[in-house]
Amino acid sequence: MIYARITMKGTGKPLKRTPVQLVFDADGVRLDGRTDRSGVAAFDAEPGSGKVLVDGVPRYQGHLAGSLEIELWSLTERSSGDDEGAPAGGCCGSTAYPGMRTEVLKVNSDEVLTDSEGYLVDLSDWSEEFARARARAEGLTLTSEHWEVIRFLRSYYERHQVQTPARDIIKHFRKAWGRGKGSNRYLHDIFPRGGPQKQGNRLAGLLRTKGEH
Amino acid sequence: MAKKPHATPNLDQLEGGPWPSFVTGLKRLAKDKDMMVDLLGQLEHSYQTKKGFWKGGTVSVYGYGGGVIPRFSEVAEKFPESSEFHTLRVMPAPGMHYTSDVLRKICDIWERHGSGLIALHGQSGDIMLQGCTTDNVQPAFDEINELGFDMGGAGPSVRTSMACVGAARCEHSCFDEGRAMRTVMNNFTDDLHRPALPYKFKFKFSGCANDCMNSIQRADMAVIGTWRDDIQVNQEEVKNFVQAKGREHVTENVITRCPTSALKLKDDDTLEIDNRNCVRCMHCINVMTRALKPGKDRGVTVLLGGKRTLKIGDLFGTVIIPFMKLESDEDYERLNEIAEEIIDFFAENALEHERVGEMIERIGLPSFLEGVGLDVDPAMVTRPRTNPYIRLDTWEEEAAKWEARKSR
Repeated sequence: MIYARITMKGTGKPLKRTPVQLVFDADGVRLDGRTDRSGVAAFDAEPGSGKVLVDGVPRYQGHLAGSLEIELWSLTERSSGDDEGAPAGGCCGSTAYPGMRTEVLKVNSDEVLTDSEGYLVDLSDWSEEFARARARAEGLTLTSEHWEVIRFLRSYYERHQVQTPARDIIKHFRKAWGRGKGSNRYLHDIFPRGGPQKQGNRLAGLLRTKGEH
Repeated sequence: MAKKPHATPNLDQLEGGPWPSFVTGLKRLAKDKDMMVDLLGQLEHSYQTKKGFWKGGTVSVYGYGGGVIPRFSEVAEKFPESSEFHTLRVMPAPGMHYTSDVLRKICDIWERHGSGLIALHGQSGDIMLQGCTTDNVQPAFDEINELGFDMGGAGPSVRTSMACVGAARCEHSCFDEGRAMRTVMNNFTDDLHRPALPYKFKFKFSGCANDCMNSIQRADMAVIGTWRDDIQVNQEEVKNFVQAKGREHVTENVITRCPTSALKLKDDDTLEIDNRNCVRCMHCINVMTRALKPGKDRGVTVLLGGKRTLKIGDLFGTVIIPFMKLESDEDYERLNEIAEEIIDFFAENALEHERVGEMIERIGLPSFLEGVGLDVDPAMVTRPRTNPYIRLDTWEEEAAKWEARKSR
């Protein structure tokens, strides 16, 4: 079971009888629910990576499991900044330079420009569909675990404006997934084309890390 | 394959001198590789514009995080054949022992998949297979892998290791370099292929203080052979040497060159060595190879933190283990444990893009030693014979502690 407890920031009062929707990343399954008198919406689902929409507005992105505490300032306005899994953006714009070799990736009906290795030219072009299309091009099927890594990388970037150091990725997932799965080796196994730092950043629509590799 | 060679007046000039030139080699490869024709063209273009046109990127083989050094050309429209010129790093065998058959096979593989250009060995210690397109990286690596070789390190990871030719061909060797390298590298294969350290970490193994691998300058963790008893002296050979070369020659080239003046040439042409003052610099042994040999009680000294200029200037390694035996399985196991402890501490405490030597400079050697659980030792004092800064206030206690540690 997954529980989402919605409260108002400041007053701490629970948000009653409000539609809550879980959207899972890996398979796109949507589950509808409604908060009860204590502000808790319960879903009968296995843990995974995804989003929580409260009254149609995304309020949480990342690992869905156990009890999720979601606090809102306002019912209608999307809070920005420090949310887990908030999309990167803000400081973007095209990073293309004269004579740069670029490639076009078909994302649904749109065409997105990437560099010759598949990194986004304009970071604000990222969408979940881009990640899926890019993964298809690299022969990878995104599972819930991939999505958790992608969400984590993006939220770290949003907060720190820098890509996550490899050690911090490992540290985070050692805590989240336990020692067996939360290891350097496993993370490289699920991202076979360059590991979580390269393939991960590529799919998460972030810049490549610098250095010789 | 006859792509017309580009005009290369600047490069041609490099062939003029009395020394062998890399340009000649490149031209030879260009006879049947179009890629090399355009490479020469781009190089000439760089000489004329005084700019480099190679751009990095990320190319890797399946399941590995590093090992390929990608190079994309930024003047690809002018030189289309060499638009991608990646390098594969491949780990050499310990002590660089190959059979000629294996070398031929590597050459054949690289002729087929790459440019044919091989650097044996690059500064990193790897076999550098240079000049490969992105599409060919995987098949080339698969064939090399089939041959029994593995990809080397690149990026912020444990890097390819090197061992000197060692006990196999050298009489100065103080431990089994090949085995030490193999033990340690097998233990760290995962950290080599899946970069997740703050920055690079290199191991190098030299059999004696001649340090043919330059490990003290180049390696984060240098394992150098040494001995703790007396230099073995064959007085008959000393006499022969003195007779052949003359007393003056011996005095000037051996006795006075001893950095700690521990040598004395006696009237009867024998040599007296003050072993307590010998710093194992190897000079006398190198000159009088027949007469002198390293002692019998051999082992290794482990140094940490050698590196080139990065955040701070060049550093030599610092002694962290003055002497340890390296003979039994347990000794090798102990070396592995020490290395693991150090790498874990490095990974947890170093800043991004900081080598272990800089980390030690930043946090101080005592805190580092405490962190990895090693004992402080008088052999770690920098410039022990000339450093005037000695604190005597707790001398007795510290001396007692040292005695207690020694007897453990």
